[in-house]
Amino acid sequence: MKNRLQELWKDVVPDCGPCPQPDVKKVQRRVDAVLDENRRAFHLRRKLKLAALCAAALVLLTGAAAVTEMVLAPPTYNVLSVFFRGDTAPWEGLMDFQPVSVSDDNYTLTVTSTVADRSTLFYTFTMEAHSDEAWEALQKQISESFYNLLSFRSHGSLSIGGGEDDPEARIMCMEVCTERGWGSSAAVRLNLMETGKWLSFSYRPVSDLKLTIGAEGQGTGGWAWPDLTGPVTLKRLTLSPLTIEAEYTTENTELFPVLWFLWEDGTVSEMESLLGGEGHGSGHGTVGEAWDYTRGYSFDSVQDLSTLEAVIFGGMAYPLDHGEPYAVDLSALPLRETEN
Amino acid sequence: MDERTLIKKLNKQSRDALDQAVSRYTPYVSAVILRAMAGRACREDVEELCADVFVALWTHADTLDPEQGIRPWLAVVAKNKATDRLRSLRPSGPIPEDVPDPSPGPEELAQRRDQSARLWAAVDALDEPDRTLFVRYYYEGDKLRTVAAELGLSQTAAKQRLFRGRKALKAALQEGAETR
Repeated sequence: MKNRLQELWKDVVPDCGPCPQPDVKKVQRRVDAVLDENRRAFHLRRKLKLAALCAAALVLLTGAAAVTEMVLAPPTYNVLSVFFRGDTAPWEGLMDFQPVSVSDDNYTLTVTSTVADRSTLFYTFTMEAHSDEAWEALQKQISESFYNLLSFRSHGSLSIGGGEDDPEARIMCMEVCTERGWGSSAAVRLNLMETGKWLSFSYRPVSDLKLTIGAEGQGTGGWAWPDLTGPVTLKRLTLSPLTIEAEYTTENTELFPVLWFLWEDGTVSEMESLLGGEGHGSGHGTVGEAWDYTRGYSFDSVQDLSTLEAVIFGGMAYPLDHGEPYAVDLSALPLRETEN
Repeated sequence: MDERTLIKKLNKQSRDALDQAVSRYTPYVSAVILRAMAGRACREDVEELCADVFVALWTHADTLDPEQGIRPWLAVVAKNKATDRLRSLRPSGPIPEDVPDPSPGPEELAQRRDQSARLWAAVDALDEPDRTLFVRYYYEGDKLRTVAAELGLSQTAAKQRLFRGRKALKAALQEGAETR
């Protein structure tokens, strides 16, 4: 819809500044921020380990050689263990665990670990207050809104969780999952810090693979709408050990393609059972017609794609080596036992 | 998705449904807020209050009645939140200068609120049916065809009223600006 109030504003208000009509995207981001904050308790189970990270960060940040010694922090306290279940040790090579800090008189902001793929960037960081007054200001701001507290140079939507914080140490731990933009660097700023104190950091996106599907199959409403089904046309999938993203067309916004993973050992997993946190994505089209969607989800645990034979959609298996698709009978294939 | 379906999906805590509600009803909610605050709200205020309303919608999603519609519920909550904000409205604190999307300072915020209030006052001072026409078309985002029909106007007549109304508003606001 055109922003009519904006038009009226420009037309009739002398010396017109910004129109009071809200930006829907900004409203959406504020809502997401609040709801994601409310989900902190839900995520806490995964994040308890961060308490130890905070303790390690305290010891290291208070030392003169904080940045260089941070790498000694226990490797289990990292961005992978925060966002993904299961044993993440085999996947440490995907991650950057090279802390970067910026400080002023009142605070030190430190990005402690990052991991990313083509679509999504995950990172953890800590905020340390250097005085009781600064700690109080930090807690006050975070209780109101993450967006009062932080500025981001990154694209897409943000899902911000909260790790454990340590009042005695005056350290707060945070984790961020965000859609990636172009490039391979991002920046975060604690708005309470001095102007110009941006913490910029780079990351190495892990490689992914694309599967061209170009077929029609079934879509489902997933856990939210288990009874909802309908046709979807799946154009392409992008897979990494961290996320899966589908490009598809459907008439119902709730639908996501029904996908199965066929593993090398001949077992299958329903993709939905492998998914973890919230998805991201967007759609565009005309009301009353089918829309094009690009929607992605992070996995519940890091996936070993080297053991994945094919992705099944609409009764056809699409091999990851881009071989010819072939028909499969899902009912004849054993389900893979889940580890969690 | 019609409103009834949307509410049913909200009942089931669908985040997609909430996203659709935000996208669809932000103009309506913001119009209620601006009206309740007599226009004394800048964009930042309205965005914050709109977000509060939709968070409340999410919190109470399981209590929504598909038969009642969503607008009355949104209007009551938006009005309450706007009223609370009016009571507590005070200048914002200092904002750092180098953030990428710099927030406005207290003076700028006050100026924006003033401009918004003057426009709202001018719209509110229009005679009926122009006032309703302007509020529903420009602020609430309703279709001109719908508003015109409900006001007993042809679309052509409604367009003429909008055109004349804009000229009147412009004149009123310029006059106000010169005498300030």
